[in-house]
Amino acid sequence: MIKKKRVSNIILFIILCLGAVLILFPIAWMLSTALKSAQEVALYPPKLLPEKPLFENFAIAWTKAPFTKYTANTLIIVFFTIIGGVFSNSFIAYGFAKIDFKGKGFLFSIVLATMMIPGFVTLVPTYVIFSKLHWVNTYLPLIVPAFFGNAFHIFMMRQFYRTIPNELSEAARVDGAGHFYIWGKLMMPLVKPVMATVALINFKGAWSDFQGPLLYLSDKSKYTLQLGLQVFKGEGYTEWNYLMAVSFLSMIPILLLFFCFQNYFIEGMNVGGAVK
Amino acid sequence: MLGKLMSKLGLKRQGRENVYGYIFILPWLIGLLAFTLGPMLFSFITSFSDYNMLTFKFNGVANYKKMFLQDQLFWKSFKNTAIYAVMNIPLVTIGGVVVAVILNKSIFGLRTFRTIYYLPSIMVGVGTYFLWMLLLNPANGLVNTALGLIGIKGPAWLTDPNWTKPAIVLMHLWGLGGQMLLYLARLQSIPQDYYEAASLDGASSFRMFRSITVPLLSPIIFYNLTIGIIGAFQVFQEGYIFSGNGTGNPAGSLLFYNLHLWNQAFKNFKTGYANAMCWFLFAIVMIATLINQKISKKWVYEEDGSND
Amino acid sequence: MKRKILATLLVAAMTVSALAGCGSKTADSNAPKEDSSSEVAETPTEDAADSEADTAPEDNGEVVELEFWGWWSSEARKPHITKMVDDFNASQSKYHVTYVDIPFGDIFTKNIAQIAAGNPCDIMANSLEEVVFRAEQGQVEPLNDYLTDDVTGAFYEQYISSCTADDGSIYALPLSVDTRGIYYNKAHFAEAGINPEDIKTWDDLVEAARKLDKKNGDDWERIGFIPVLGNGGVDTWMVNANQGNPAWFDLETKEAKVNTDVNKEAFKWVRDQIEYYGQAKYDELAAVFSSGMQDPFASGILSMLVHTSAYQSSLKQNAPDLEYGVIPLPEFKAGNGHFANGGGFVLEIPKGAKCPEGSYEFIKFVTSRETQDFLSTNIGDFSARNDFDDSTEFFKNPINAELGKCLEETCTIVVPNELKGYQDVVNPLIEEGTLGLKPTDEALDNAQKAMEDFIATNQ
Repeated sequence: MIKKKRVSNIILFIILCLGAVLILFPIAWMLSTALKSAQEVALYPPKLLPEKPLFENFAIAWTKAPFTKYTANTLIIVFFTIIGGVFSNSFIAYGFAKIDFKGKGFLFSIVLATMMIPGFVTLVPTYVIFSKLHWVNTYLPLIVPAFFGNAFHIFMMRQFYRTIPNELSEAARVDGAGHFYIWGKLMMPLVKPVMATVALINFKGAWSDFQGPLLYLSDKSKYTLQLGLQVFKGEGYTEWNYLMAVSFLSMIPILLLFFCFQNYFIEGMNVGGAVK
Repeated sequence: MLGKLMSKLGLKRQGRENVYGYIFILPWLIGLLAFTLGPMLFSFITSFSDYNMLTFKFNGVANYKKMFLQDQLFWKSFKNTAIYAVMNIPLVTIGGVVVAVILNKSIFGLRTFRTIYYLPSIMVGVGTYFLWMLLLNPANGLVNTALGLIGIKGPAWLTDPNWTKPAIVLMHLWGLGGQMLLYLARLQSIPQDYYEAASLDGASSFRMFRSITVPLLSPIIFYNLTIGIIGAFQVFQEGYIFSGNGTGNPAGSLLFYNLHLWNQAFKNFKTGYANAMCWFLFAIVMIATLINQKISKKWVYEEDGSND
Repeated sequence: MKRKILATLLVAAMTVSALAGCGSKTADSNAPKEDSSSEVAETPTEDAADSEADTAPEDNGEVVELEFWGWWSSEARKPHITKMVDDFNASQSKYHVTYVDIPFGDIFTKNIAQIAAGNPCDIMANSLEEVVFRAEQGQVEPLNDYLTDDVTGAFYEQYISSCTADDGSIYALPLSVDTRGIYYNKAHFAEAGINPEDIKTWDDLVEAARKLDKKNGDDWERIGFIPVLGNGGVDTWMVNANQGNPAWFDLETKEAKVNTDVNKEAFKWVRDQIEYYGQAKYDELAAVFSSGMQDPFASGILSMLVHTSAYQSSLKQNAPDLEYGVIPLPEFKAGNGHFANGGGFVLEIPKGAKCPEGSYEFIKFVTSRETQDFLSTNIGDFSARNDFDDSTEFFKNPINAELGKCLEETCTIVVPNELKGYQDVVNPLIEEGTLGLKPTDEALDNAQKAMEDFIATNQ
């Protein structure tokens, strides 16, 4: 019995190793392409590794467009999206979790319902509205909505608030504390983990957003990194080595965050799954 | 301060709670009106008009008539999206469950494997799409080179209209780690004694998988099916980036619903028509959600009190 | 704590509004009157007329800032555009133009959003084929108030008429035009003993291609010719076969004529050329071109390639030592004519631009003979001016001179507004034939049906 288990484990281990190779190879390909010369990229059959790794490709690629500027632009959007997301969602979720008010059940069911609405349903009319407000070609359409809560994050945070015993807030109420005080002073420290999760999700979303900036930003000096990557795919000839170099650099922040805060990422996913 | 004001107004405890409640959810209410309900109402009205952001003219149900009866590309984009969904959802779901089940066993290097399998799903952004364009290059891309090693001549993934959708599915299979993680979390909450008891009864591991694992995973699987269908009608970047210029080529095989909608709205500026398409999309999503809830009531195993 | 958080929120909110301020400020800073923008959004036409009167630059020494949108962004082209703009700025003191490059795929979307919001850029590059459509949609300003006969008379009639809408007004001036020819590798031709002048008909072309082909075992080492690579599409060959007329519709009756006998024969020929080398080989080459990884003509894998004059700058970069020449597209049948489909770019003034006089001054400068010669020589496209002759720098280049001959039999096909957008429906069906998914005749029949339906429902 035990022996049989060991054999099956060895087989599974081998399968997992094969799978891991399949997953890691594309990533390795990205790096090796980034280090190749233009001639090596076009080689047929392809070479796995460059003859001589050209580390300067990263530096060259970075100056092919104002990528430092694009990174700064992206960070502006990311920063405000996180601030907006963390505060608005924790504020709203507190209301749904800890305050008994008329119509709460009904309104919360609307929160749940809006979770299902895909962004494209409102994309066109929202665009019209933003363009009439003269917000096109500013960062506002990409930032402002974050300050008004996100159904999924409200739900996530509410679930978290509900794990905090009510006695705590009720005791504070009896002592005459208002809800603002309880939210800001008592609850905020306790919900830090879920706030971190929301912050990470917002970071990932805003950092990698392509469609929003594509639609709203026209001035090249306002481009984000994701839009900036397109400069390599222009007018017929593509510099794949440079494109891969900047693509890789653009992923580093998320990869770093992931390895530092792995648990928060996974936490966020789990709560997502608990919706059902 | 607010408290004093309210006691001056003579509000009782419940009254105060009501005021506080609405203050707290106010940002959401504003957001709901400004970014969801308002736009939806606006798009509903303009969907009955010939509107191009500059001029507005009511034209009855002409947009809907055009959509269902006249616009050949509408059905093409719908079909493309449906075909993609039918290929993508089962494969990614099955793949995710299988990998999760394997990664739930005690195997050497488990933590490392979990990280590796999850890795692609955090490699987000346009760069990943470009990477796959490179990998799928028919002549010297990694995928066809690897297939060549085992004696298969790989297809021209992104230039052969028959292979563009499988190419996208392949890319998504690579990134199935995100779904895998959901299943894994759920599996870890299944008490081990279920399996022990079953194994004492002499159940085979396949039987245990079928009778314990799958039923316990079913709520999440169904949740992901709904999300998957909605997700399929969200596919945009794949078509936009892989076809190079948003046309959905080769031979219109990458013209997905949202890409067609996008082109109508932001290339041809048929805003009224695009809004009709928005509403049809909304209807599809609602129907998918409802059907899913109906079916899942029959099929899905619910743990007592597991919700809420 | 409470205060702190509220303060933080407040700061955040204020910063956002400050950002909003910056945003709209930069967008509006060009607008001469601050409050006009909201009106413009509602009634662009009226306001545009107003602003003309209001904002005519008076000679008070104030420089009017103008924005010029185009898509030239590569290192090979952008510097020349910038130089041209600088030259304009130095040539007078009333206006100051800034060049903004926007990717080609997004420029019209962004521009229409600007027009809708009421503060568009001042000068905009556009495709020649789009002028009439944009004019009808109310997206551009007519130029008639500023145009003089000496200006319009300096262009070939064909191109001015492409810029003239049904109302008789001229809405743009041609910036550049192009045509297509077949680039050939001189070394390959010498080796195969082919005289380029002998390639007169499609049959001659195939014959030459067979001499150029080289096979190594199962794989092609060298490929003579594939008609739909490079800048040539099915359309190029169909227009050639149809003697310069639109291939898929009748310009007069505006009816579909996709599955005609000529088209069937010509389309089958195109497909046969692909099939000869095998679909897989074609897919591979098409992917190489579309991924932009390398250029098979530059690297000597292809002996002939259809392309425009602008291709020279790319060859200069990728294969500086390559010896090549250009021949006109051959005739479908002897005596049919060496027709090619061509296009072009124009400059126009978006609807509601704040200072049309200034915009026009810039357009006039760019379309002058001197600037055109500078642009053509450096960017590689032709000028639409009729006084452009051998004395120009541009035509001293023998390849340009050769392509210049092709220009005489080049037709720019402007799709009538009634048929606008038919390509979205027809092209994928044609492509099914090109790629061998359907027999070519069937693909044409399907496209014919689709086009008829399209026309029927569009009326």
